[in-house]
Amino acid sequence: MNIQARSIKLNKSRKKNNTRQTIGSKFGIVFRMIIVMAFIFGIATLRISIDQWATAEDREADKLVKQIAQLDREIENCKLKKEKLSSWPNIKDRIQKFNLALRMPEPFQVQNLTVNYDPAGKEKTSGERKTAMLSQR
Amino acid sequence: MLTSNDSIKIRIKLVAGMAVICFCLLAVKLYQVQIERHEELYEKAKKQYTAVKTTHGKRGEIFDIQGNLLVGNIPCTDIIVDPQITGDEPVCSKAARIFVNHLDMTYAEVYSRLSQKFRIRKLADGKTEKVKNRFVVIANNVPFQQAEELKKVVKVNNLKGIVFTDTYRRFYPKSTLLSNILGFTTPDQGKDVPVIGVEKTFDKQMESSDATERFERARDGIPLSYGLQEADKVKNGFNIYLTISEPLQSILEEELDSLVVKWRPKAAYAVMVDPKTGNVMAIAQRPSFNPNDRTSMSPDNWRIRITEDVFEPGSTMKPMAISGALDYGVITPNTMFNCENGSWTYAGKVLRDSHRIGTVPAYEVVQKSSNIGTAKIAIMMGEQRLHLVLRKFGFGASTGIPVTPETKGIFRPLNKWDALSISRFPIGQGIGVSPIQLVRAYCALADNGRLRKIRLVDRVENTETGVVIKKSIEEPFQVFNNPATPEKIVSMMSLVTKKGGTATAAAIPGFNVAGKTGTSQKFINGQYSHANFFSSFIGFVPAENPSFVLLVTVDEPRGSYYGGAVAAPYFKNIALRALRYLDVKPDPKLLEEAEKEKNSKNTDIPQRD
Repeated sequence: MNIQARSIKLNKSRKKNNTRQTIGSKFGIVFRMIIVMAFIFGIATLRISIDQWATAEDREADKLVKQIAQLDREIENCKLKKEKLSSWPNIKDRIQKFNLALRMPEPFQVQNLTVNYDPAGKEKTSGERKTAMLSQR
Repeated sequence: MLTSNDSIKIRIKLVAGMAVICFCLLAVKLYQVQIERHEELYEKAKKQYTAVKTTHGKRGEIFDIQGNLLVGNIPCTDIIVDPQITGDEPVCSKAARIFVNHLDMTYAEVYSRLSQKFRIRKLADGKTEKVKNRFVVIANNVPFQQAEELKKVVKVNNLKGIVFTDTYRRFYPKSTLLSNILGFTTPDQGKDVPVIGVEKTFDKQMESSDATERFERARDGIPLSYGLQEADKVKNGFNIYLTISEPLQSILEEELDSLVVKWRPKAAYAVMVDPKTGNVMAIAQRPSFNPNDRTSMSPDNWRIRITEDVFEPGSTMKPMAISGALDYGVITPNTMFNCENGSWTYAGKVLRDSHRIGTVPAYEVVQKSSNIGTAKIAIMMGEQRLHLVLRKFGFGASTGIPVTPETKGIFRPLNKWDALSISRFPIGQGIGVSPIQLVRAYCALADNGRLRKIRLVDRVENTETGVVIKKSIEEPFQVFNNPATPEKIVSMMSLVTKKGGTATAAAIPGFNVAGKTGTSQKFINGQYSHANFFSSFIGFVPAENPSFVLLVTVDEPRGSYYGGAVAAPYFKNIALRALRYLDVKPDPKLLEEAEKEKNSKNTDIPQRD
């Protein structure tokens, strides 16, 4: 009998504890949910801000890529212009246009500059030879 | 009778039923949208936020041996408009006025394109329909600077619907220089299609491929970093480095131009080759064309006569036949020949010399260019040997120059020779050679009998990896069996430009010039013409250690026709300037001799064949 009486007592006390625990656990759950939601919100905000930052960087990079492409085109244009202007037919036209008194140099007037030049840098070979083709009278 | 409770229940059921029906309809619609039409709608949506960008690869460039650019790609812009966005009449009119100020176009032309809102499309059944026009090209290949200015003006004026597409156009910065060998391309649907020359032969190496990039974009078109991105790799073409030297090419072309002014020929060619490597140092022909100017182009101007055309070499053929006789030991430079005072009948046909010569040694046969003497030498050698010698010099075979088309010339097989062949082929009649074949044969004479393939391309560069592939120089073929032969024939040829020779006009003070003149009648309508000639001079300098072999050929010169008078002076001019450029110093002893000779003012024999 004693055992039964104890057992009833135990049940009663447990019931009281459960009610207290329910309120506590409810707060706990809400609190945890808030935490989780805040975490999710934080992650989402972080992701959005990272994306936003990445997009801004992309925009900047795209702008730079476009600028580089534009500069490349300008360089290409200048390179071809230079090649055109430095060609002999063009120089000859200018000599005629400005009536420059130029004539072929005598062999002893010519000095050749030979540069040992190898773009790969492996082996030195006799390289570009630039010769002054004209000398002022 | 229904109680109020029943009525409420029915209403609730009705509303619930309606909701169920609505829900079912929604579910059906959802099924249709999400499952049945998923692919279609997904593609549609994807199109909205996916952009495709095409990047054009750059065609390989062409350089000379020193890296001077000969062919490049110039940036330019295509201007395209969407007439649906451009705006109404006043806006189109304003835009047209802006374009006219910057482009070589009339107001009417631009305005009609800007305001072309609709176009008529033909249907398969023959009917027509009016469709909205969303793509009109205002101008193609607008130069870079012009397009940049126009871009700024369009932006300032806030003109809508105008798109500037960046492209590249093949550009030849040296205009006519080397144009026949370089060839040209023609634009076709955004691609450069090669027509002729190096552009065509090396198209596979130089061609580029475009790349398409697919990416998810933001509203303003910027790629999203977290979106889908697929991209092919753009492939740029390989760069080609020719064996040509631009300064030498300029010298050659300048002199060729003055030759054309003086002799007003139908055509003229000049080829300069390094005999020790087979490298073409300079090569030019007239008429020519400017590849940047389409109006100067005609097949007659752009075809490569130097590799394609065949001509009778005339006396320029003699050194090959005589060197063969020397090599076989049939003759020595001092063997005497009766040149019959200028007229000799062989196989029923009369063979003449341009000037009367009696009995002379073999070296004088070369020096005075005797047809009769050369024919007699060939007859002593015999048909088989002569045939073999000319074959060994590369006649009737391609030279290896990487330019198409290339002729093998006309050289009959031995079994098709007639009685006259042995007397005519060694003097360059009845045999057809291309200028480049003749130069190759002379390269063998200049380089101790070593016959090499002609090289035009020195190296190929992979623009992406930077790897350079050098085109190797192939082992030469030895033409002569006797090592003493080259020296003998070269010394005989050196006399041609000396006092008493046929080409004293080709002599260069301070240098030993070995060469041979050639004057050949053109074969027109089955007979040799007495009015149309090929005049040539081919030689090498310095004879003992040649820097180059140079051929100058003039097709139908007016006024004179002897190779010694027409071509030889230009050989001298080109060679002199080239030697100075190459820093080949004159021999002081020879220079002194030349000075003495100049002072003695002795008269030479007329400058003839």
